[in-house]
Amino acid sequence: MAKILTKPLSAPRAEAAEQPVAYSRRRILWLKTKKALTERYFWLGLLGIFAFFVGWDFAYRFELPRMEKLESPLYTFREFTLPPRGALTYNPAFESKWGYGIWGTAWYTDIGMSVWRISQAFAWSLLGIPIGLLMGWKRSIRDFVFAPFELMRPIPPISWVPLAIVMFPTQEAPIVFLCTIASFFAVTLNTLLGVDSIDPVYFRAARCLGSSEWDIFRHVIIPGAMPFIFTGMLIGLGVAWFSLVGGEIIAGTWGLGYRTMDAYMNVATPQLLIAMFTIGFIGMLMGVGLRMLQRRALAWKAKTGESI
Amino acid sequence: MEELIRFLGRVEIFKDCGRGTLEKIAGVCEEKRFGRGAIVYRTGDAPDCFYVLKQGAVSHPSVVGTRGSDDGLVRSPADLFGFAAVVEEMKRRVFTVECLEDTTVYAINGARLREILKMDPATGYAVMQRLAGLMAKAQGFVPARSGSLSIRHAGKIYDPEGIHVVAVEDCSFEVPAGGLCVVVGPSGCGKTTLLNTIAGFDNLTSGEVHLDGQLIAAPGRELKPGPDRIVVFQQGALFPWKTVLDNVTYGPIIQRKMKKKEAVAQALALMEKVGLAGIESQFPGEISSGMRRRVEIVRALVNDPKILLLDEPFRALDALTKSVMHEYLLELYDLSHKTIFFITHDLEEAIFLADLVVIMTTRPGRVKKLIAVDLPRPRTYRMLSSKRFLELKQQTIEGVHEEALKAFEAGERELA
Amino acid sequence: MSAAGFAKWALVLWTILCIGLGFFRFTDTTFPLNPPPGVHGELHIALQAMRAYQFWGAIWIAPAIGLFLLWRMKREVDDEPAVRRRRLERRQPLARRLGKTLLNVHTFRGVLGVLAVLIIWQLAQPLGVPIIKRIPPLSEVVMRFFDDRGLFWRDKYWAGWVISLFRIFSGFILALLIGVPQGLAWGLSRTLKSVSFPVFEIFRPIPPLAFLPAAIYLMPTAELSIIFVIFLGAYFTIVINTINGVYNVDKSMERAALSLGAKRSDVFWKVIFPGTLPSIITGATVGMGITWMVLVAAEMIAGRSGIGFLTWESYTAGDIPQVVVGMASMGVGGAICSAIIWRLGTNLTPWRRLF
Repeated sequence: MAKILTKPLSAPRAEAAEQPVAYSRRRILWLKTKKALTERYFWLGLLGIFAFFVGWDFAYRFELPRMEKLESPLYTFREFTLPPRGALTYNPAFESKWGYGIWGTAWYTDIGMSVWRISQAFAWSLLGIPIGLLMGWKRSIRDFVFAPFELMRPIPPISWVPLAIVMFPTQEAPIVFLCTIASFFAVTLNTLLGVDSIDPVYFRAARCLGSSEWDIFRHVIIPGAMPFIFTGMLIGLGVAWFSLVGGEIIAGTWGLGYRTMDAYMNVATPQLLIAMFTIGFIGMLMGVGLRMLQRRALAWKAKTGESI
Repeated sequence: MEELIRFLGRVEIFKDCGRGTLEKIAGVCEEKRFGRGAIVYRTGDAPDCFYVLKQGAVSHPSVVGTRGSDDGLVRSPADLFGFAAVVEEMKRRVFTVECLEDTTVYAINGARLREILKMDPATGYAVMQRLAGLMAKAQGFVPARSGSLSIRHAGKIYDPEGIHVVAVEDCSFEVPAGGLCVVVGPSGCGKTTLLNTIAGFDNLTSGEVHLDGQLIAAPGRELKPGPDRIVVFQQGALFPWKTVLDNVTYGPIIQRKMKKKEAVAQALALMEKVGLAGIESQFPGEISSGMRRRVEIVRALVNDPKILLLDEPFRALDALTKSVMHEYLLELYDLSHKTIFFITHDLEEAIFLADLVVIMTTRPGRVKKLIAVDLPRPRTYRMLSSKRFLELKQQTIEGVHEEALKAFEAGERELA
Repeated sequence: MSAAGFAKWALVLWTILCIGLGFFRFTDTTFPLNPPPGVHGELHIALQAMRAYQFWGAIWIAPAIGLFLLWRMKREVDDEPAVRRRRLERRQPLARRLGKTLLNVHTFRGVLGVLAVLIIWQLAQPLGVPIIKRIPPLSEVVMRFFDDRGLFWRDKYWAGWVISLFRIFSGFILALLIGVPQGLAWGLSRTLKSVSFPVFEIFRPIPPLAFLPAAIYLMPTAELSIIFVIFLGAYFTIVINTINGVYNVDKSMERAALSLGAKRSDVFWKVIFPGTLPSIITGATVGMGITWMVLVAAEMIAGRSGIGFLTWESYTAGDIPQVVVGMASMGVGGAICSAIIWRLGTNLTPWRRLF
């Protein structure tokens, strides 16, 4: 038979077989670290961070205007890492005044409460994904739902707090409701955008191959909107975290947001700073976790590769 | 002659025939020689002769030889192949038969053999019986060719009450079943519009399109794209979130034609046959653009469509890959003999691939010229510099160039 | 020097002047808790507050200059024959266009959807729908808004709008003035970015509200602390979007400009900056949404005037219909502000519609 048709593809297999040295993971990690260390920009970044801490220390030492209540970075660090009074020693140099750090329970409780609230809210807001997918699939559903949706979206989530307290008489529910509202709109909107972003040619191809409407929903719309769904989840998580702080300040007990206000009232600056940085850090961690999930789910999105 | 009669006597099915019959059969025998790689007949042909192998070897998929030869290979002298020609009530088609070395065969005209056998009722009937028996054992016949396309006065106007853009105006031509039709024209001349109408993505505003005698497109008709006319798109429409194997098995599974295991086996077999083995578990984003085009064509073929619609599929490939893909497409065409409706803006590509070239004018798109290409198949790249090819090109290039100039001056962008 | 060149320099100098002067001029004016007698006492206070922060008021001249420059850029693009031809081609009768957009099945369904929600809201209390029944029904809210002592007639409400909008725009414009040049600089110079970006990234995930206590310490007055927090809200978004915008400018356009003989400054002003504009506008729109959210929270927690404060005050007084009015007002305000920014933005980048 003819030449081209039956000639088997050898390229992918052959390349995979030709790997002379098997690099272990540890070695790869070591090589990567070595490379990063020699990068000029890495050291510049470190310089920037160092300059920031120096500036902080200077601001404390030289009592810049308006910064009387600021503590030095070292003091804050000690507060964070040393045990509270009486736990280990009686030496005041080795103890934390307010006990807000890795040795006390308060910090962990705060983190736990905040994370628990956010998880609940985020889980509820994932309802937005099927709603968004349905809106993208059927024009009629979109017409009905989009108008009230867009009218309610600009209302800032925090302004829901008084109403939420009225609606849900319990302590925790208003805060969770608040974060759910905040995240829900972002998730739904992005899912809708995701469905809209699917190239119409895929719909045509699916129809050609004999798909029913439901098949198109399952095999084209859901996977095709996935990238935007993840973007929506990331944004939703960010907005929910954002609103969580506000909600806790106004209506909560325990929780990192509440802690910032509490520290402000008690003029406990280290607590304030620790709480602030923890909020930022946990927010970043959640984002990183979600991104890892995204990378696994969107394995088909090749960054490199020729485009047709 | 005497030798021939003795040789025919050795043929299994003729063993009971008397000398007189054998003489008559020898009379209608024709000796034919084929070189290595020559094609005796192609898939979908309805040969009127059947052949007795004198010497040589022939590849014949799904043959059950008279002496129990290897499946797919006819090596022994006095073996038969192509006896569908004889059994008249089963008008079956056959697969391509290619010669693997220098071969000599005796071609016997089926109709005449039937007459001869009828004249000798005693043994003739037995011979026919044996032939029918052999036919029943053979597997996998190609069904009769289908997919004849008929376009009659097709017209499409976009936004009739508003901007009123006439995309296509009064196009008429016919594509025979199993033919390769290529439509050439400048950008914006409405060829994609025509393809969309045939595929069922868009409606005509006037005229009709028939496929195998059935109306598939007319003004006001409900749009229903389906797997009997599958499109291979210009920009590529392999689902990027599915692996290559999932893409190829998508059609059969979703139409509930077969279970997953079956579909996977069939898809793997077809991919193996066409040389795409080894990439099943990769995503489209990880394979090269040429491979993607091939996978997309295979994805269409696996569904056994009546007509394959190709919308400038090789447009985005570089010229070298393109020439290889042309030969690839032609080999697939030889194998499956589906009706193909191909759109391009490249005249050489059109003449090289087609049986029928349709030249369209720039907007509004009308059929300017119909050219029947009589270059022999299988076509090779060497034909691109043959005399006949250049003659055909000469006939067509004036018209195409004129339209290209008009389109350029109008500065049209592509519609749809 | 041409008018545009002069305007550019004026913009830069004025910005530096405002920020520099403002930092050292601590106007410690606070609002008197009891408004002076007179019909429009509270409005009077609002205007006084604005005047007191003169440099914050003066900073509004910067956007005027900026808009002038962008208008000039738009004029250049509008003169192109392709843009003019497009505008002529689109000239369908206005009535027909309006008719097509308003009188189709989709708008009709949308209206139905909104009506459905409103009806459910109104009937939640009599029908006893579990959670929503605790919200006062629509009729009560509307009546309370418009009756004799309703918010519609009170100064408090409209002064609150003025103050809230003032805070929003001050913070937002400050975020634009600082964030856009910073983003451009970081996008262009990788060295600069690698020094400052890690610190930026440490502070970015922290919600602006968490800065509020720190801002109250830092800033001389509550007013400034609110504006600072609002500034932070928009600032991070605008910087990130600007940097992405610079990265997304096609390298080949830069190279084309250079090979046509452009100077470095021309490449910046004529290629990179217009190319970044769409991203800046996206960042501004998103940032505007964020500022509104931050404003509400900040006013609720630390403010003594403004719509957010009004909402919180109504809640503590137990006046729930007014709470709903406050929420609706904030929603409307946010939508209008975002729409203004977006409209302005798309008008200034008409080339986006062509491609």
